[in-house]
Amino acid sequence: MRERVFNLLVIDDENGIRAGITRVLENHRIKFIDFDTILSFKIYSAASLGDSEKIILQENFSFYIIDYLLPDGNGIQFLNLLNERVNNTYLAIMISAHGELPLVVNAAKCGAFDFIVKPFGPNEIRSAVYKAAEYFLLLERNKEFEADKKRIRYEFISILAHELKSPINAIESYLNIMEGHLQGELINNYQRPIVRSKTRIQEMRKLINDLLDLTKIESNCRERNIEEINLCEVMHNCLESYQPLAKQKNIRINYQIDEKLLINANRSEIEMLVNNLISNAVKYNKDNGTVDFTASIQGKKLNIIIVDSGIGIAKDEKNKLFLEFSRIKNENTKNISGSGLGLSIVKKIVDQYHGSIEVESEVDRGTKFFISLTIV
Amino acid sequence: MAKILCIDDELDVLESCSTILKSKGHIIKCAGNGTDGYKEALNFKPDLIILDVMMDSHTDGFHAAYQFRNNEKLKNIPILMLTSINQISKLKFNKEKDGQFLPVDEFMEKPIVPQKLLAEVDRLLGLKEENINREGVKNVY
Repeated sequence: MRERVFNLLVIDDENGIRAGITRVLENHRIKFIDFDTILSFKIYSAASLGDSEKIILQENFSFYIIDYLLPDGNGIQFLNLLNERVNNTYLAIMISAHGELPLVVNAAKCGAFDFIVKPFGPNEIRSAVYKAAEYFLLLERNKEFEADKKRIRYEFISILAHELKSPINAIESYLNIMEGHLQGELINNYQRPIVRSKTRIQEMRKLINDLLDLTKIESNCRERNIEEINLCEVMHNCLESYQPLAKQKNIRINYQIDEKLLINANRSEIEMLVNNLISNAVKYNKDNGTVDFTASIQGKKLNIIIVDSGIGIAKDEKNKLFLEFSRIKNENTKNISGSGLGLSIVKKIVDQYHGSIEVESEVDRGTKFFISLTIV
Repeated sequence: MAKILCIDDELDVLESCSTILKSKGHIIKCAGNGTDGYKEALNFKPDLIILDVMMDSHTDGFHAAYQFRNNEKLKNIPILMLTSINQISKLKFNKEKDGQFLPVDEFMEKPIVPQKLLAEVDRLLGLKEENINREGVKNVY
């Protein structure tokens, strides 16, 4: 467990209270298992607003225990001072002889975290400090999450920008060649740049569509219509899109789905799932290969198994499969285009249905995906 | 006419460079990553290397550059490094600043502009051996 010591400032004009709180908290250790932290305090004390002002200039405090009535002012004034001058995260507990509601509300408005009414004993102090310490650690953790979120978003956008810029650069380079008549005056000489430019545009369109699919799944703001779907029908539509590519490579797509197999699910999600799986199984297959797709219902589970006879995935590449924009780069995949988002989309859909996805693969032999979705 | 080796993981960059340079009669060989590029360089003995900054990994181009400079037979070949601003590595290149620690002779941004590429290639092919930027502080990372 991590030992952490936090600075705590007690502000009270009564010597007895300052000494009492110091005695209660100076050897007090609080264990927070959830945060893997043992927390203790280094206690400072001040008898007036003026003294406190000087101390907070010299030290950073995470916790304050402040008496409302001070000889040269009041606790609210001190809270306002903290709001103005202190940038670090802190929590303040206010002490008062009178627990009147207006005072409590006013203190809370000025940022007081908790309120203790005099007279109080060691237990009240310990319990108030415990609450404050726990909340403090929560705030810290929240801040870390926020920072992580920003970093992940930044990374995502940087990669996306790169992915969008590469095709634009490629197309612009080809256009520059054409503009400069570098391959002569005949348009026929420019077939290759034209074909490549069109390919890059198609890839970019696929990336944009995949990106829209991905955000569609991630955002919960859309209406998620659940309806009865015939899986066979979805498969038929999917085959219509991928049969041409399969034919080019002489790949046979077999599927075993009960014609009457009906599931309650969101149509566009199931279409995305099936399309992405079939598309990968065809793209990463070898010439004359096969794709076998089976779907069956077991209780509340829809089990899908898709097996291809393709290039396979190396062991150490498997854990990268579902990451956004991760594409396995090697000799076998260099001529296969993809957005790098297909399997992230599949994974997100599987998560929507509280399902699971497993991969078995052997390089050069093929890949098998096991998918299980909970279909209520 | 010169022998030029282009190293980039992007087919279209290789094709564009090839087309532009072949139009001026240069002989071109291509490689898809730093390792293949290095092997190709040993066989092909190019007069100039055009090298992408980021290939298999963010630093593949840099590693390839150091590898060339550490080989007795290859160290005097001028290197033109292709870059793309706002890349994931967040690096923006500047000849004056980065040339001091990256052992390359020129940076050029994508997309490829034929006139610019041809002008730089001509200039680099004419570079005297003593003016090749061989020194880069090793292990910048």
